[in-house]
Amino acid sequence: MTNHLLSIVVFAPLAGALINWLVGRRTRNETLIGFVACGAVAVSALAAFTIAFTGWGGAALTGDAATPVMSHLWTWIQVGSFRADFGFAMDRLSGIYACFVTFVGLLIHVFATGYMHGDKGFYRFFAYLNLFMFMMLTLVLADNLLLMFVGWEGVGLCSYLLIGYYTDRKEAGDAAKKAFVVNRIGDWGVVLGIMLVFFLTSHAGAPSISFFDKTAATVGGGDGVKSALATIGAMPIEAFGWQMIFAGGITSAAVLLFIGATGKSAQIPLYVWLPDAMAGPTPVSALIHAATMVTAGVYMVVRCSAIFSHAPTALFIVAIIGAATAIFAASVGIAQNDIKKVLAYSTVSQLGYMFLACGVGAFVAAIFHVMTHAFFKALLFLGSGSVIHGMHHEQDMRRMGGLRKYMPVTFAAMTVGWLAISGFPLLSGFFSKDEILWKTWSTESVGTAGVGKFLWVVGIVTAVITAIYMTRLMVMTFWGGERFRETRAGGEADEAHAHAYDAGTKPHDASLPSAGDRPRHEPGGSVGAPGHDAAAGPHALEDEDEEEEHHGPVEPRESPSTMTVPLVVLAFLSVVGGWVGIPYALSGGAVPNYFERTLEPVVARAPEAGAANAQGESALQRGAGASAQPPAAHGNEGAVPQSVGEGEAGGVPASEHAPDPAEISRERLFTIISVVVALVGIGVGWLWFQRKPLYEMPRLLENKYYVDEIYDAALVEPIKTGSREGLWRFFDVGVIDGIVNGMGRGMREIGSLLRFLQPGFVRSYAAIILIGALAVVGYFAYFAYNAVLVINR
Amino acid sequence: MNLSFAIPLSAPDVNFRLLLPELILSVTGVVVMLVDAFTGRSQRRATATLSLAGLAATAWATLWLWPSAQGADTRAWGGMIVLDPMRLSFTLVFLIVAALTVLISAIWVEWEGLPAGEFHTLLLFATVGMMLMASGNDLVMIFLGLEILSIATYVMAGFRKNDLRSNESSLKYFILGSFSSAFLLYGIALVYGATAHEVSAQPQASGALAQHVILAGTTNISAIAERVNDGLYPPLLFAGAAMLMIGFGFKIASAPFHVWTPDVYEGAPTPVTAFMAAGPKAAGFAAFMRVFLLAFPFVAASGQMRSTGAQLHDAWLGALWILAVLTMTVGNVVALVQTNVKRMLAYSSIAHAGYALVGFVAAGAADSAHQTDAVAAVVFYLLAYAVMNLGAFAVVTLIARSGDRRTDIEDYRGIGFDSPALSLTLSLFLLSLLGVPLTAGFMGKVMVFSQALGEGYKWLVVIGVLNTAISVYYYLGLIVVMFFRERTTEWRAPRIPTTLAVVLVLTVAGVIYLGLFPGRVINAFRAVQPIAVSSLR
Repeated sequence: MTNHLLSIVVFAPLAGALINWLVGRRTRNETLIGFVACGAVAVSALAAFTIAFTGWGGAALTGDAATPVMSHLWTWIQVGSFRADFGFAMDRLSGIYACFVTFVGLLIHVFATGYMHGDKGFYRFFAYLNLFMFMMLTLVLADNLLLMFVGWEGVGLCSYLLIGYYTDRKEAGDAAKKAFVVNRIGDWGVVLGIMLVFFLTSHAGAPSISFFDKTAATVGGGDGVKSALATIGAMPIEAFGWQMIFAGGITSAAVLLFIGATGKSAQIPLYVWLPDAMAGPTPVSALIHAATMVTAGVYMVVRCSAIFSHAPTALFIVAIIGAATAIFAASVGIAQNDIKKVLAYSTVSQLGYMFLACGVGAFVAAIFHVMTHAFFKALLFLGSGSVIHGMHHEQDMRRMGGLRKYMPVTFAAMTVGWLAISGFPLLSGFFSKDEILWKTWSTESVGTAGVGKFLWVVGIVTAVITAIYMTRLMVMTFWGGERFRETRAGGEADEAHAHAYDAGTKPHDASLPSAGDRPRHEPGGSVGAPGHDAAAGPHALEDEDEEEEHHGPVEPRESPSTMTVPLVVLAFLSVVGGWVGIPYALSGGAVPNYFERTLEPVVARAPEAGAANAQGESALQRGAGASAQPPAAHGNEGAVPQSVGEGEAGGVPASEHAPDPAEISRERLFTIISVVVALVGIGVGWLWFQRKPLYEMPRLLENKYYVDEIYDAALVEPIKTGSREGLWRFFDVGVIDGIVNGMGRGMREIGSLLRFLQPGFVRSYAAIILIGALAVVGYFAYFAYNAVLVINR
Repeated sequence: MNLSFAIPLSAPDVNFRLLLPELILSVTGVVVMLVDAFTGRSQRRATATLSLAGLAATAWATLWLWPSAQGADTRAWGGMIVLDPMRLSFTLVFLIVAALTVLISAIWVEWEGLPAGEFHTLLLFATVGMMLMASGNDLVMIFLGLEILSIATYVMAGFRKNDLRSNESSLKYFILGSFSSAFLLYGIALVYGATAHEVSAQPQASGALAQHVILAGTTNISAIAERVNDGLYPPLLFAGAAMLMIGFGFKIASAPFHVWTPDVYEGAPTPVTAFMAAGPKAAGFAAFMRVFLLAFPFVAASGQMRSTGAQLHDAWLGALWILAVLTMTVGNVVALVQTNVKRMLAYSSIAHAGYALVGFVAAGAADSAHQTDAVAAVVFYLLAYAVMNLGAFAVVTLIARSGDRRTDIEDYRGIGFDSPALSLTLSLFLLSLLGVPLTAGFMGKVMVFSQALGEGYKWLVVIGVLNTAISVYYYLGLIVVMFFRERTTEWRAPRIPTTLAVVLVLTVAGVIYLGLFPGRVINAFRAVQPIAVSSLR
């Protein structure tokens, strides 16, 4: 169905960005700017929830028929058989994304009004942030690959702008450039992948890059648009083998798209930009680099699940990369001292989990984890932002400690986040992570069936490490001695200098407030000093005092309510967010797995090992409804009406149908293992760091396996040198300039000669014309002679 | 036998409807002249406004005629005037050129204290001449149009009576122009003679003497095309065609008949130069193309023997190919070493005539279906060139001040940041002349070159592109001079008068519009194909 409310979801933040850029820049009124920014996102969120849940909006998430709600605006490009529309569509997958993006985005916007208070670029910050929301929603709600790519590039741009938001800090600029360049590598893959999808569908006789079938009525005339995913979903599943990557078929397309996902979602080998991206303001880290943008890669993979499920080789690669990234990043995260760096590596690690889930064919579990992760990681980032704010922009955990007395609300909220990410029972992270691990163990996907057990071990180890580093973070921050009072952090000063590089901050004395992440406050500045004080209360005064005195210990304090309220809301969601997806094995069917039931129709299922080998490929396509459940490749909801679960009595999805009792007990066993693992991790971390909060981690981990250095030496430097010496000195200056200048000189010589023919006398001009005339007449005479010969013959 | 030449003998078939644009503009010219005569010198604004109004009315009439170009009623004056898209699109180009020239000259006329009314009158008559060149379907009509245009431009070139350079320019133009007109006229005479037929006179005219025989040629383009193969004196036809090519080659300033251009363009007042480079050149193309494409058309080879018509087609196409290459190359190479901006733009205008000739060659080689596209591409090119060239000359006029004092490249040193509006617009025009993407010049080149490629003229296009590469040097050179050289002389940024501001806004918008959205314009130009020879019968 068509509902143009969907366009409001997308365009409301754009309007907010424009207003803030045009009006906010003039007025510099923080209340107005904050109201506009938050209001725009609130409108967007309201519209998104209306469409998703109410019958009037189209009930994209809850409706019985899993057809998307469309808003076709205009045909964007039509060249030959290539067609890309400017249109939005919300199906169940993009509905889930749109809801949590707008809602978490709203909370982070509110938080940011407190966090960025007093910053000179307040309007700029919120204009960018709103622009980001616009781009992110374009990405998620686009109804074809090309428009999705517009959003994909757009969020990259906003990410660049916001990482480099503190324009006066070199490391912010460098980090922004790094993020931009690394993402370009991934984008190369996406563009080629889109082209390949177009070629594949053209080859199948239905050229398209659209995600959905669009009827003639929807697109306003013509023949309508056929879904590319359905077309590819109807193709035979490709064989498993390395040669398929380069065969130019579905596997190649999937691998190319996944290259883009490794860039945007910070997977090995393109993850290096995300930790550096923490140079941006903390709300940015929370919104873009934890909750929303970095999960765009997962979104794309799941959206294109019809493609991936036909490419077992690609699925295998996705699983391996995901698992490797998960354990790698977790092991680095355990050794970081900057609170945001720990969370950054944690994000990379959790994204690895999501790709692991995609790789083993558990697309639903991946999206489930995306959602819960958005809640608890946004919570943790905002909590860390609150801590940083309260600590006067100190980010080094070695100079924190004992903060729970000073920041009780932040502490309580972060405790929830800590337990959720560690997989503490009944919190959101527990359900989603447990599901991923179980699906990994029990995978029968062609690509990963052989290595499922091994990947599960990797996942479990990662879970332990996750619990340990999160416990370390909590202990170092909220428990133990109040190290911020020490004028020199207990002999750590040298260490601080030594590690200043990877902390991303300047070496500094513990007694001084760090210059790290601070918004530019203007003590008593031009922006209405009375209002400033009134709004910030005692903090502002305190802040000013300290900055004037430049000595004495920092006194942490709780953040204002604009910051703590979002924390509390997110904490609540981190607790209950997982309850929509309780697996059958745990609930025994008492509570339906809403999440799986909602998403099941819109994602494809990975081919199972036995089925794919035993049956011919043709059988794979037709058996969608059969009870044996061969890997039905559901292109998308609209195209495959016989989707699993839809229309069955009681609405119980087939996947929840009476699973094998042995299977259930095994799943329960694994759940217990997960719980034990989480508790062990927390326990180990507690015992370890409670005693020695400043325990020195192995250098190798602290320096992140020297990956940045290796990249520099192996790639960046050779490219720089090659460009400078080869491309510039030799080719540009020598060859190109040589040729050009040489030609220029030669032509000038000729020109000077020709100028002699231009003496200025009419008689010589007439002579030249006459000579030319004779030449022309002579030329014609030759043909006339031929003509006469012909006639006389 | 159908006697086309006999048509003028019967009752004159004046179709005023088709002549409406020319009539309106002629009347406007007379009215402007009278207003000027009876009100005296102070009526600069009045005559300019009247001229603009007349041009607007003419443009309206042209657009009004546009749909009927496809209809059956397409001839006037017994076939001497024709209505087809080629005529209409060229007419539109002329009107745009004339209107912009009126606006550009407003400030200049004031500076120089010149009789504005006379200037506007001459300009309007010149425009009428150009329009007749585009609409004439008869060599005589085309010649008349050309002379109306030429005489007006001779006077305009020498309009600054007290300036020696202006006088020199006018005189050189006049002498060499007469020289070339002689070629043209002789060519017309030869063609007339070559197409002579032995025909029996009308029986009723002489009663008993039914076998009375007369010899008669024709100057009607459609009739010439029919008689190419069976004229009495084929060699004369070749000589006549050669002469016509020389005459038109002079008008469009193609090498080696370009030699008058630099001196005349440099010496003439800048607004007149702007007009001459854009308008009469396009008019020359209009007549050149109509005569050669329609009177000496491509004839499919029948059998093994090449007919006279095919030989003639080969001859003029081959000659045109050489002219195109020479014109592009000479224009660009000599432009490299110029030290005067007007002279540089003069050579640049020669080079651009060469690029347009590339499209002409493609039109000549094309069959009638593709010919429409090729002709439309050439007209588009000339329109784009007119817009960007007039824009550039508008800036040059303003910077030159009264008496054309500052036209050396040295005078442009470092003015970039003192007068950003002027230097940025001039840079845009130069980039467009160079053919940088997103500008009108680029689209024009793309269309002309792609037409040539479509007809298989690979080397012509290669030479054209190499020439474009050469032209980078002097176009960018001027931009570099404006922005990156230290200023050595005293210079004060001129205030931009309203009329010139209007010109700059219009030309900038035109350059960008034609560069970004050429589709509408090109579609209008190619809406109908030029009247095919066959449709006359």
